[in-house]
Amino acid sequence: MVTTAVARDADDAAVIEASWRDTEKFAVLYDRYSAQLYRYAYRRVGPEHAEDVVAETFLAAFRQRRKYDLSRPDARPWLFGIVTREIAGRRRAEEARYRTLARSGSGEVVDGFADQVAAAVTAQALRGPLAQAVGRLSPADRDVLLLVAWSQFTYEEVAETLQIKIGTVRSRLHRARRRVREALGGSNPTTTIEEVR
Amino acid sequence: MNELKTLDDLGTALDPASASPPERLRQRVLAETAQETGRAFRLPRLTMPPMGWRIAAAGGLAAALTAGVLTTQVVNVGGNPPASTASAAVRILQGAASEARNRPAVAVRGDQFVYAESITTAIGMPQGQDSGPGDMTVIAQRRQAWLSVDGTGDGMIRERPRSGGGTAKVMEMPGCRDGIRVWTKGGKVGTQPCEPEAHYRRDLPTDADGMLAELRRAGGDTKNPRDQDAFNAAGDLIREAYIAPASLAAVFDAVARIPGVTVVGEVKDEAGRTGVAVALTQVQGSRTELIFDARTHAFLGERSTQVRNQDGLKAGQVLDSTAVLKIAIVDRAGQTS
Repeated sequence: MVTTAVARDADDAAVIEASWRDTEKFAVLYDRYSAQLYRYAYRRVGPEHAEDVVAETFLAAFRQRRKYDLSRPDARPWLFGIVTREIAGRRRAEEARYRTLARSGSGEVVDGFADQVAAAVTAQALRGPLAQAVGRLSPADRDVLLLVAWSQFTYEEVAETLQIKIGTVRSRLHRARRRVREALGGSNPTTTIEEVR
Repeated sequence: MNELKTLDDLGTALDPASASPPERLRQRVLAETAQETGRAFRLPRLTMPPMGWRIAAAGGLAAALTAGVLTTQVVNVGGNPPASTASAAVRILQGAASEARNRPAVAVRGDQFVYAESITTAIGMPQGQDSGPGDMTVIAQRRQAWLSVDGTGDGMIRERPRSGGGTAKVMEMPGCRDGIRVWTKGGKVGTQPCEPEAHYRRDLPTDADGMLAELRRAGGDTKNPRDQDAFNAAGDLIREAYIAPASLAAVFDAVARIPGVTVVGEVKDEAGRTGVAVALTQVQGSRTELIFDARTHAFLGERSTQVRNQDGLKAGQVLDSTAVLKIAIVDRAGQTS
C-alpha cells in the first residue's frame, strides 16, 4: 500500500539541492513522499487534519531545504520527523480519533471464507481495545511504535527521524508494545517478541 | 496474536479511502511553496475560479503557479501611491454596485455551466537567487472556463497562448456525483470521494453588511491584515464567476467599506479598455487592483502592480493583468453563448 517511487533518476539529496535554485524541483520530493506521508498522517489525525498536516510538513521542509544534510540520500526520515512534529501539534485530535474508534467497536459485516472471516472478526474485535491503548500511550512512545508498525521503519530510521538514540528507540518500542499487548488481554507467556527490522 | 499485526489491521481500518492524497493537496503545496519564494506577492489566482480552484489548478494552472513570481510591464502607473482619495474609491464602487444592480437577473439551473472567458498577461520569473529579469518568461493566455453550476457536471478549462498559435491546453474538471469524482489521468481512471463544489452560489448575502461579513469570513485564516484578506476575498469571489445582480452589488458596496481602499486613476485593462481602478496595497509589496469601466463602472478585470523595489522587481511593474471578456450561463461545457 505504501507507494514508494521506483527507478529514481536522482536521490533525494540531489533533488533537494536542485530545489535550492529551481524551486519547482521540490515537486519531485512531493511526488515521492506525499502518498506515504498522507497515509501516515491520515491514520493518526484523520481526514479533517491530514491534508493540513501534510501541506504544513512540505512547507516546513521547503523552508528548511537549505539546511538539509546532503550527505543523506534518503529524505524519508527527515520528512517523517517533520510530519511527526506537525502531528504532535494536533495531539488532541489524534487521541480523540482513537477514542472514537475504541467506542465504535466493530460493526462491520465481514464477508468471505470461514477462516478469513474468523481472522477478520478477531482483528475487528481487538480494534477497539487496541485503539484505546494506542491513544493512551505517551506521545513519545506512540511516535516510535507507529513509525515501526505503520511505516515499517527500522530502529536506525526511527532514531534518525526522531533524533533519539537507538537504545531509546528500543526501550520506547518495548514499552509501547508491552502496553498494547496488555490491552489486548494477552500477557500470554507464549507470545514472543520478535525483533523488528 | 502478535500486536504488531493487530496494529497493522488497526492502521488499515484508519486508512483513507484512496491510496493517494487528493490532487488539490499537491496544488496547495506547490502553490504555498511558490508563494513562499515569491513572497513579494500574492500569487496570481486569476486562473482560478473562487470555489473550484482546487480542481482548476490540476492542469495548466500548476505551471503558472509554480512559476511563482509573475511580472509584466503593461502600463506603468508608477510606484507612487494612488493619488486619489478614498472617497473617490467609494464613488467608483457605488457606481459599480449600481451598474450591477441594474443588470437583468438570470435564472440559473444546477445542471448548467458558468462560462468565463478572459485574457491574461503575466511574466514568470525563475526563483533562483541568481536569476534576474533576463530570465523572465511571458505568459500570455486566453482562457475559457466552463464551471459546473452545482458542481456535479463535468466542467472544462481551455487555455491557449495568445500569440504564436500554440496549441490549446484542456483541463477536464470532472463533476462530483454521488460523492465520487472520477478522474482520468494519463489513461488511468481513478475515483476520489468528494463533495460537489458549486460555482454559482445562491446563498450569498445581498446587502453590504452581510457581504462584508462574508468576505471577512472567507478571507480569514491568514496572517495578513484582515482588510487585505477581505479585499482579496472579494476578488476571489467575483473572479470567473457569475454572481446574481443584488449580491454582486453587495460585493462592491462591501469593498467600499474596507479601510485602505484607494483609487489608482485611469488605467488600461488587459484588453486595452480604459478603466478606473480601486486598489488595496498588500503588505507583501504589491497593490491589487479591481478595474472598472471608466464610463459604465462595469467590472472589467484585475491587475497586480508592484509598489516597492523589491526582489528584483521595480515599483510600477505590473505583475499580472487579466481582462474578463465574457461571463455567461450556458447549458453545456464547450458552449460559449
